[in-house]
Amino acid sequence: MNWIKLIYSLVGVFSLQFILADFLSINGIRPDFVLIYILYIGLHHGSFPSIIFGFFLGLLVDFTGVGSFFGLTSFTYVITGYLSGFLHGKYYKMIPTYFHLIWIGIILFHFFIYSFIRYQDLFETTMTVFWLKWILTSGYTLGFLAIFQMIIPLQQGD
Amino acid sequence: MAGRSLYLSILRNKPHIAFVIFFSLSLNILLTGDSSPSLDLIRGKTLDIFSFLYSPLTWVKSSFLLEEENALLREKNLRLFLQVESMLQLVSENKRLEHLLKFKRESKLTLLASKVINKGLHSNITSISIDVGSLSGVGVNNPVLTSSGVVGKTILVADRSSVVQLLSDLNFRLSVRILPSEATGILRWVGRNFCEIREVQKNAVIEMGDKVVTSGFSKIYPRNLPVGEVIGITDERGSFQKIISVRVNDDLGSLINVFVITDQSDELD
Repeated sequence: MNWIKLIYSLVGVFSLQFILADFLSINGIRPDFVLIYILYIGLHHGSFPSIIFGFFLGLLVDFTGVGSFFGLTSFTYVITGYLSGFLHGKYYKMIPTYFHLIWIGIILFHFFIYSFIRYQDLFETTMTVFWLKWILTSGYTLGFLAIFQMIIPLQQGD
Repeated sequence: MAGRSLYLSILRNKPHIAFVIFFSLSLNILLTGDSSPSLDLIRGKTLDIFSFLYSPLTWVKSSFLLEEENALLREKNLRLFLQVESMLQLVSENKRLEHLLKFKRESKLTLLASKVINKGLHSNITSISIDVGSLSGVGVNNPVLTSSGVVGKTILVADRSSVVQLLSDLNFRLSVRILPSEATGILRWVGRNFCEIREVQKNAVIEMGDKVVTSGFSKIYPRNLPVGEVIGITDERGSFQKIISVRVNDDLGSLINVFVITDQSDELD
């Protein structure tokens, strides 16, 4: 594992999110490139670096300006980093469909925690809106992940 | 020997240990982050740095939108001109009536124009950063609005920039009044540019299209700032209250320029 290379790619991904997030916004929903990066780190290099990167990137994302729940991004990225690390080196040891279903599940779980904390009020009052918000937010990032997956396959680290 | 086995055990369980440490750290930040003055100071400083870094992008974006915005403003200008004409007549009539009643009311609001620098990097927009801060007289909990109505309030103020908590934030609540019925309630966001008012008495006469304005009950928002209009009324069975659906005047995802009320003074005689 080359830490310098990882840090360079981290700067690149953060810049990408910094520049493109607003331009790609649809009805207030934006893709989360940083999350995609953390998933890649977890799958290619294991839990340890993805937890550390997740924590610090989450803090950095929150420092760019958040009205409430400061630290939520770090919290969810750390969980995603840890879970994605379990898939490191597993692609050829398990059925590929399961492998893909698990990382999709991790992304969905990430957004579930994020939405559940950020929109807990909607969860109690208008559950349909909550589920819609969760599905659309997850779906948008998953769409970009599907595109990236074709360029750099998730299982390439194996 | 024991030390070596401990070291090996730490190495073997490195990811799990890191998870426990960073999970606890982030949970601690999440639980205390919004109310920590020292963290607010760091957030303020980094916000200034990010605002500076983001300024070229804001410039590019606003240049793209300039022509479109100009056309919209021209159209709005014409509509407002016509509205002002009719309002001028109403004002003179109002003054005459106030004079008859010996009533004087004056409301002074100091508005500060500002530009939206960025909308954070999160997957959902719940806050924006603006290019004015404490050096321009902005304080925490200053109301933020556009020409169409209230959009939020300042929640973190740095020297040259501020974070605005939008209506779409879960923690945002707004005390509102529905006109002309004068029914009051608390407004909360439900999605896109839709909100709900839940604590409205069932016997209040509310019609579709009624205007929603700030109630003036809160210390943050002055009275009668426009918020939106009623688009739905739901009677809850077994409840003494009804739910009012409101469409807010602005698309919160596409804000470019906003105003901050830095000073408000009501004079009532």
